[in-house]
Amino acid sequence: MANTSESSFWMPPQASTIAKEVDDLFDFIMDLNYIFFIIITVMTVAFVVMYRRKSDDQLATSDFDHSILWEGAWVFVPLLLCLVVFVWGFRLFLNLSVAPEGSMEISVTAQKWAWSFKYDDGQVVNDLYVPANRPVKLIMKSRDVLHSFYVPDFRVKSDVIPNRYTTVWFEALAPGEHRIYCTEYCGKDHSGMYRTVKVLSEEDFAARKKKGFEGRPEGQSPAAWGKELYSKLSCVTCHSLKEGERRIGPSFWGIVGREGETEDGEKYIANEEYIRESIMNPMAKIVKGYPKSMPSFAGQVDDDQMDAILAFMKTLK
Amino acid sequence: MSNIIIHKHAHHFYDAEQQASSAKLGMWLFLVTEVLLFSGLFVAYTVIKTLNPEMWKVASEQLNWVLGSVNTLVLITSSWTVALAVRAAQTNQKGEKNKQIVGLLVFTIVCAFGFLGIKYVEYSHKIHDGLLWGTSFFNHPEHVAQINGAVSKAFGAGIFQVPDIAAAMKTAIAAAQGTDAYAAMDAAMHEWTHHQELVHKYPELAHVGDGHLFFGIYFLITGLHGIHVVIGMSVLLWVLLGAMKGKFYKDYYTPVELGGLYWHLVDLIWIYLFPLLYLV
Amino acid sequence: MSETQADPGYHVSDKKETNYIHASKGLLSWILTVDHKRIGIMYLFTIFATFALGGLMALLVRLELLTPGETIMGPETYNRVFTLHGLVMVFLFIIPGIPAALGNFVLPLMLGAKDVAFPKLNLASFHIYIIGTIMALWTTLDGGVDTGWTFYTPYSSTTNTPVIMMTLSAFVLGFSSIFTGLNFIVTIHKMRAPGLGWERLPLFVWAMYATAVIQVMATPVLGITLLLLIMERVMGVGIFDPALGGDPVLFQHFFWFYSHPAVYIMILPGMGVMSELITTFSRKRIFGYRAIAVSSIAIAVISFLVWGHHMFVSGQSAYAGMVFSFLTFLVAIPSAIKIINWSTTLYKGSISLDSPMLWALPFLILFTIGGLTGIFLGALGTDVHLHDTYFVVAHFHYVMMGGTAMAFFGGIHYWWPKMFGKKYNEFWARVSAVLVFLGFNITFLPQFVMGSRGMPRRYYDYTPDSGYQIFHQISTVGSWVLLLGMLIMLVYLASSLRSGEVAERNPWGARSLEWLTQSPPIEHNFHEIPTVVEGPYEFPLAGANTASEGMDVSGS
Repeated sequence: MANTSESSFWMPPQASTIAKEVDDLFDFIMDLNYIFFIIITVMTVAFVVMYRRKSDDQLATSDFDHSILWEGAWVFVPLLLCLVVFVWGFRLFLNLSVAPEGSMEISVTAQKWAWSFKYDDGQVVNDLYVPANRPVKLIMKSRDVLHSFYVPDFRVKSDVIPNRYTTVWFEALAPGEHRIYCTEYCGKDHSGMYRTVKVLSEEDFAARKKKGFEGRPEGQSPAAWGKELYSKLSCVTCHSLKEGERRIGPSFWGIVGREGETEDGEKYIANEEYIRESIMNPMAKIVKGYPKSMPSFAGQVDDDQMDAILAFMKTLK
Repeated sequence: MSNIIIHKHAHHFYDAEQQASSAKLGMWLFLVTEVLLFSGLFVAYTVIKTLNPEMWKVASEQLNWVLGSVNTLVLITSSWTVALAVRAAQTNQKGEKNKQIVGLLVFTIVCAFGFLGIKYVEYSHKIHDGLLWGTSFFNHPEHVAQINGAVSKAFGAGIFQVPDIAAAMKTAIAAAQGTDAYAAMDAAMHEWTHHQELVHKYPELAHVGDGHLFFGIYFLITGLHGIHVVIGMSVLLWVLLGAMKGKFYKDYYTPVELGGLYWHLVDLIWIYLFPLLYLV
Repeated sequence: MSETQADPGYHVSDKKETNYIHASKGLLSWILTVDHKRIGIMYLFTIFATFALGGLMALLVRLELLTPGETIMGPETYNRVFTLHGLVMVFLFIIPGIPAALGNFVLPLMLGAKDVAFPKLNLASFHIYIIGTIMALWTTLDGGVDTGWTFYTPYSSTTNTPVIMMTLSAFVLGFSSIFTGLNFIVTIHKMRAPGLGWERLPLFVWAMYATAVIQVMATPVLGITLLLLIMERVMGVGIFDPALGGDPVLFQHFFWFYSHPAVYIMILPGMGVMSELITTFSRKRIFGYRAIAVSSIAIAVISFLVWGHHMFVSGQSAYAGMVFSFLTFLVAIPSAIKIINWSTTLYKGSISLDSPMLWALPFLILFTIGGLTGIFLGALGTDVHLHDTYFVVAHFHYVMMGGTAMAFFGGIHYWWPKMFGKKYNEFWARVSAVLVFLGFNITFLPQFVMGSRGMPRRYYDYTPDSGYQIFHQISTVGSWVLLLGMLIMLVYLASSLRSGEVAERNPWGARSLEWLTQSPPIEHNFHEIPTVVEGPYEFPLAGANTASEGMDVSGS
């Protein structure tokens, strides 16, 4: 099996089957860039040096002002090269867009500011686990605004849109980890929305999938796992752990059992049921004085994770 | 040359003819920008119609094509009269036909008022019936949810929970006479009743579920057009004032001509949008 | 062959008539002026100010990116700062830029006219621009907009920042742009001096004409796009809202239908200035006049057909992508023609390295880099990897700043003696040009590499282990070199205004009509409208016996 290559000057490692194809076109265009840049720069510098005005009344020594041959060459040669690049780029694009038959499908949801990945067995995780050497097709949608799924090492990217599905496919070459970036500006934590593609060997992948990719790690307490989830699910962006510190949402310090008032004037006590509802259906009760900005995590947080989050919150006092 | 213009001209022009032809070219360019402004809306219309064909068919039937046709005739007539006004100015010896020019311009402006009046009638009807955009559309799921919320809050049960909610509301409201809760209940019941009336009045629309995208486009296009009608009227009014002072004659009728051009555009845009909205 | 027809008594006046600056006094005489030259000067000063504001935003952005994590501001502030940088630079600096500040001043002079076709409309353009600017700055008082200058929905239709005021300001500014374009088209059609046929027009005029056509045709579409966004926010119409059955990607189509032609509004005037600078400072006729003129029109036309190349990964169909990619390559060809024609013009010329030329020559090289890197983005297969990364940021800064801004500064230096009748310090001007060139490349070259290595754009932060930090640091240092170059420019230009040497009528020995006027010109530009009998750029050849400079009558 081909190993991923080392990164080159311009490009990150080639970690997918299509990366080399992309880099080949990139390199060709880069060569064209170098050639034409050198031609123009050398021409300009040479002419400036050779025909530099040495005295105030020095005039031009030629009135050469048109040449069908020269102009024609500069139309046809660039045109030809552009057409070559166009066709090459288009065919590559079709390869990038059309997933092979029998690709393993994983569904992806983007929201401000987290990714979640759902497998055919229903489990939902926050990093993308894939087997090496098998084509994987991602079926993606957004819950709120535009996002974009980008893995530089794989050379794949597609915008993720609300109310519509878009797709991306890749085949990873070898086990390893690769960055996922969001590349469509989506607000405060746009740059914090990165996750990892974890490419596993075929056997590892099957084994871990059976166990649950992101179940509570062995030996870790629910509260400690809850603390990890607090970061992973991006709660940290809007909810501080410091007493009284307000970000976009209320602080989690002392939240369990806290009393308060909703914007409709209803009184509430933040018990387990309230917290669970706030995570699954945040619009149901908005705390007075806070904006209606929290996205829902329904379908992203399973029961184990919910218990862990509650356990963690209970430690915050 | 029989058309040497001897009218006074601005200092940066060689002569009045250059000034007049520059003004005309300028106005044509401006009309191009107006066409492109509306073209965005026509593109939006096309795209959204393609994505929602049933909504389009059903919703557009709610527009009153008779009133629309009358408006079309009104505008075409007004275009004709403004063209006559330009002609009158063009052939006017200084001071001669002013009354004619004034009269034709007045008639044009009156037609414009007529157009706006009919549009007012159409608009108020639609607004009253909740045939609007976005979630304010009378049968939009979120609008219905809002009504349900209000009813639930006031009566303790939602419109989908009780088989005969109307009767239940009547009983509850009668019982609540004189209490604090009465006002909220009354308002909620009004909303619900009005909604039911509309559902009965527009069964096909209720069946299709929503018409909000159509009516959004309808109000946007006719609204923007209406604003341009008002702009056109203002321009013609200004020209009218000049005509009343006897300013326009065969060597200087540029404002009449340009005002007329603008008015023709306003008419032309309506001629495109009328069939697209009313006759589709 | 190179003589203007002499009317008996026609002469370039030696009598020092009061110039346009001193023709009337008082603030009101400037604010209510209908003199195109005064309007141009007012635009010039305002545009310098908006450039400084946009530049300050850029410096802040680069400062934040010096280190991972928070350096000087939090993410929400950062998002507002980069948005303001884009909005100010695009709508308040570069789109009005050359047409308003230089075109207004130079165009009527170059045509042998006394003013533009509609002087009052010209004044209205200026005041509308000021109103739009104030509205845009108002949003900063209100917390600032955080959508990016592209306002993509649904983010822009739902975010809690003053989007409506900002889009209204852009809407207002659009009118200024449209009226200027309209004015220029009519002026060029109707107000040319006798004998100044289309094939004798300086290429700056052709460039302004093509720009004006785009301004008139594209800007209204931006207008309706912004109106629709406002309606979306205010009325919840729903055409961009997926929850209401609308399509957020439709916004992108509308937006880029204007904004792609808009980038040609930005570059074409710069290309026009280039033609003037290259010819004057090589004392040579332009190579391929007709090709350059026609290519300007070709660019204007094709520019309307390529907007989808901003949307290759937006979810639009591969078929649409194919069409847009193909057309994008077509639009590259006319620009390539210009570059080669300018370079070829230098052949056997007499090349001066006076400061305006030190802006023109870098343009040649930097715009080449910008244009060539566009090929990566026009090709579908590579654009997937590079879209929305710093590679794109570097590409457009090379064409817009390495291109247009360089040409803008070159044009300012070139026409400065004509505008103000004063010279500036040539030594410091050269220092500034070199510093800006160096600073620019240090800032933006690393961004190509960062981008192809995957660094996304509009990112507040990056992790220490991502390997991008060194590129960010080099880039930030480059921005300081740029700042230094600009500050030096500000100082010597201000000093020139205050106490610069008096400039002659035609210090550069150029041959277009504006150099026949006094420096600065009288209020009505020409004592007598000249009649033109030769093409533009008819510089004498070595060995020919006319030693005249400019379009003088020999023996005058």
